[in-house]
Amino acid sequence: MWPFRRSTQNGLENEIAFHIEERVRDLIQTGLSEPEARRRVRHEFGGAQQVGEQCRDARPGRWLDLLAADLRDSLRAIRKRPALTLTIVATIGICTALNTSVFTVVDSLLLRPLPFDQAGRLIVLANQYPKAGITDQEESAAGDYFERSQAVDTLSSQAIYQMVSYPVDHGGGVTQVRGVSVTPSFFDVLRVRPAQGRFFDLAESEPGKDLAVVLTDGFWRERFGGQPALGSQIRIDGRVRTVVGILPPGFRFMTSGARYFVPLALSPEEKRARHSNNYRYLARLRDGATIEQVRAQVDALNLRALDLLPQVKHLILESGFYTHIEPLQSWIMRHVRPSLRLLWAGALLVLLAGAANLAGLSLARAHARTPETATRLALGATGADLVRRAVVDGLVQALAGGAVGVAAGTLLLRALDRSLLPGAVEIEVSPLVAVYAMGGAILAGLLASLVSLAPALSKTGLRPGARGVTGRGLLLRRVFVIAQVAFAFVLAGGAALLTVSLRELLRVDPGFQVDRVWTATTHLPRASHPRNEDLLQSADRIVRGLAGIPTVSSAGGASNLPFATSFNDIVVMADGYVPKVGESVVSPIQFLVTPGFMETLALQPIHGRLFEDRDTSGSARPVVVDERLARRFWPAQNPVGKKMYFPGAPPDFRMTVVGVVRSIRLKDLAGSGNPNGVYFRPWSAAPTRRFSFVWRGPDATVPAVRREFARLSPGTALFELASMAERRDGSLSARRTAHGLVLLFAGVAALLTALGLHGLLAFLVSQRRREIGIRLAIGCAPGRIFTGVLADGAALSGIGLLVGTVLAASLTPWIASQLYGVAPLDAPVLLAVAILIGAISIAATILPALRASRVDPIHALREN
Amino acid sequence: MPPPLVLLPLQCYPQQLEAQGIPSPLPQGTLDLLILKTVALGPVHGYAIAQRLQQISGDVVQVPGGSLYPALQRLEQRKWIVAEWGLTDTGREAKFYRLSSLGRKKLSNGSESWHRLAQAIGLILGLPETKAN
Repeated sequence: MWPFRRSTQNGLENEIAFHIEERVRDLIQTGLSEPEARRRVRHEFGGAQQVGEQCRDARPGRWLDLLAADLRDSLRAIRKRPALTLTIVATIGICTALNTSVFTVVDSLLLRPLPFDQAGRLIVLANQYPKAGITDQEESAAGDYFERSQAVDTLSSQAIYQMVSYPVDHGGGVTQVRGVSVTPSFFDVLRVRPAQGRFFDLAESEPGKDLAVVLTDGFWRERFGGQPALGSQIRIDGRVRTVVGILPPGFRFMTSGARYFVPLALSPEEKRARHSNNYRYLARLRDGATIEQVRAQVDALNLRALDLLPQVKHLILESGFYTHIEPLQSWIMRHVRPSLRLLWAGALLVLLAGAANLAGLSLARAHARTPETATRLALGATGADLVRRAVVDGLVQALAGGAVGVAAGTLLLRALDRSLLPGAVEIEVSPLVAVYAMGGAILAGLLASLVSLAPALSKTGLRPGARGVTGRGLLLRRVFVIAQVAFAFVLAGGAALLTVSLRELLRVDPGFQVDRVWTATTHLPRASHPRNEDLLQSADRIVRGLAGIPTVSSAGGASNLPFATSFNDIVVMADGYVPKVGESVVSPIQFLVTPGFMETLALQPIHGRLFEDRDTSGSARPVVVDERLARRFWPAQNPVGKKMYFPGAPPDFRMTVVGVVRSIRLKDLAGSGNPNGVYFRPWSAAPTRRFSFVWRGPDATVPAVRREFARLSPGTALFELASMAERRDGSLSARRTAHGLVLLFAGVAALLTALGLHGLLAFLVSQRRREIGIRLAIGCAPGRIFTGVLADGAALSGIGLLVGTVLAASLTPWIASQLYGVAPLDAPVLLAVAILIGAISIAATILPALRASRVDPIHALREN
Repeated sequence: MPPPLVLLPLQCYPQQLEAQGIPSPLPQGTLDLLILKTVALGPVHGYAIAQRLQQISGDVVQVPGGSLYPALQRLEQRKWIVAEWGLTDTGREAKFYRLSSLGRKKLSNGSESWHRLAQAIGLILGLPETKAN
């Protein structure tokens, strides 16, 4: 094992052999027979092997040999008890695997900086109107940007951009591809350099001159096969654009789905627009500047800008308007952070439960090895020798388990649905993850093996052949089992609460039909649809075409779809409505729909009617509101015939309520998102390039719709084709993943607990065989032995459940945000979980209890 | 004739020796000193060292291999003696030891203090005793 030692070793053996031969020869000369001489020499010399060992002890570097010996011992012990070792390695492996996968996600999203130069100085600015119910809005107005670019000197660069999705035509058919529309300053903010060519200049951000495009490395390779592409033309959004630059490989912004960048060209009016929040806003802090300084400057500018809008100034002030400023990374991750923290806590709990279980197992092994340890001590091993041996044992198992765990965790990550996570970064195992995971494994392994020394280092019970049970070790094992029960209870409780939440959510009626409803989206390019009339014609053609398919029972179009991540919310007022004191302006979701859309979703009017074909033209400006908004504006009145208007719009602009529908849950089943309700307007009132549509019919309609769409709308692509049920499930998928993982954690913890409890009681029973034998011999009923062991286990799990309840109570903030329709300390749910964990504990106790009651007194007493 | 003095490994713990019923051997370092002196007489192998010690002391001092070789290793480690493989008179390969200059210094220091100690002990033990009544 240590080649550089071998020469000395051999030399010594030769030297001793020489000594022995010489002595034997001398003795033979004095008249002894050779066997007699050899016997004498052996006796005199006192064991060549021992001499060798003593000589080794005299050398420096002796610890290496000792380590090697410990390692040999350790491996020998593993061979001797493969089942126990396998259990330990598997326990460490499972815990490490869970922690590896969860921590990789935590590290990739929350800990590692975004892949940009000085990414910590990137910030996001977004206008919020909290008193109007708008607190998580992502965008700003173009006017904000053009003013602040000049006036805010605490920012070294600023940019606005829009995520876009355009049909791309570059030979071989049209596909819908996502990209980003950016101001030329965008790349300066990110501090990225082109791999080829250049980025946009200021002239290219003027309408009509914006025909340039920058491709990502991946898109360039895909579309141009890596051939020179600068100066090539590619049709995006129906307009022929020239490739001016290629981004470096590995560059990604927000999502790997954004494949190209086009200039954001705004008209002079758009550049002045305020509170028309259509653009995401990104900036870089100047060196030495703080977010607070930026905030102060922006607040001052915001206030001054309001003076330019005297008609709406009080409305905007009342809405609590401010510009939210936050570091880019923390902003992107704001929605996943709570569930990640929950999962991380869960994974750590599993690790703790695993460590507690290991400690219990190791203690069991320590007890089993008590005679061996006692013999070692008697032969002169010191405490340090035992500790070293235990550390080696712990390390060998930890390294094996840790390696298995990291590998399994990496595999587990492959199964993770990336679409649930922000796409701004690659989810990958970093050195930090490896250190964390192996560190956890090693700590768990070391803790377990050091704990196992407790009985050995205490004075009692170390006589060779001692059969006593040392008090301290046993107390520790009880503590560990109690801890495991507590951890298992907390995890199972969490899993149960999430299960109940999911069930409650799935019971929620979103307020519209989901079954047999299908959805899809297209983008109507500017080039082929320069005017609103073109949009209206295309939309009308598509909807009528779909409705004409025999199996389709109804169809309609809209600006957006239910279960989307964001909606358009626009401040609206009602004639005669006076906001109460302290109440602010109302900013409900605006949904633009064609006739047929609401019918397809089976939205029934409670009052009045839905849209009809005649509503698509004319100046009547009909509007349909939902119950929530109706209650707000016209409590206890029939809203039909009432008027609504946009603050700041011309005085004669009035919308007339023609109908009221039930409240619907647009964003997700939990009813998160806008609290103000929805109002529907005809799509024709403000047609959008992004056009979504829905139809009702069996699965078989999907290919028919595809065919019909291709015929009706050449040059455009169909995307996001999904059933409404799929969209609904998609809105729950983050919850489902968290739920699934916590369920897995709980299962692992429950299994570990059962193993730990069973191991402890089995051990206790084996230690008490003699005592049980005596009890039975003097007339104790086996049934009482059985119930005694059972009671022992029940007491442990009872204490564990109590501890777990206290732990759960202290952890409620971690899970509260993930729950729906159930309180974090819901008594029936937690009681059911306690009963389940109790049942598992009892099941784990039954086997040892049975074994105890079947002890044969004769055998038990004869054993010693 | 009194029993020979058996020189045991020096790193033995005194308590352990006592527990095994073995009287304490010569003061620590004595074996080292004897080996250094023997080696100082000229290059010599391990077996010869043991033989010579026994012969010169008239069989009073016996050094079992279990004591000798660890001591040799230790002295070599401290660079008090230098070892070299060579051939014996009978043509066999053996490890020969000779004194290093450091070892010579240690030997002269060691023998001087030994002599002083022996003299002192002799003086003390030579005092006349009063007869018990």
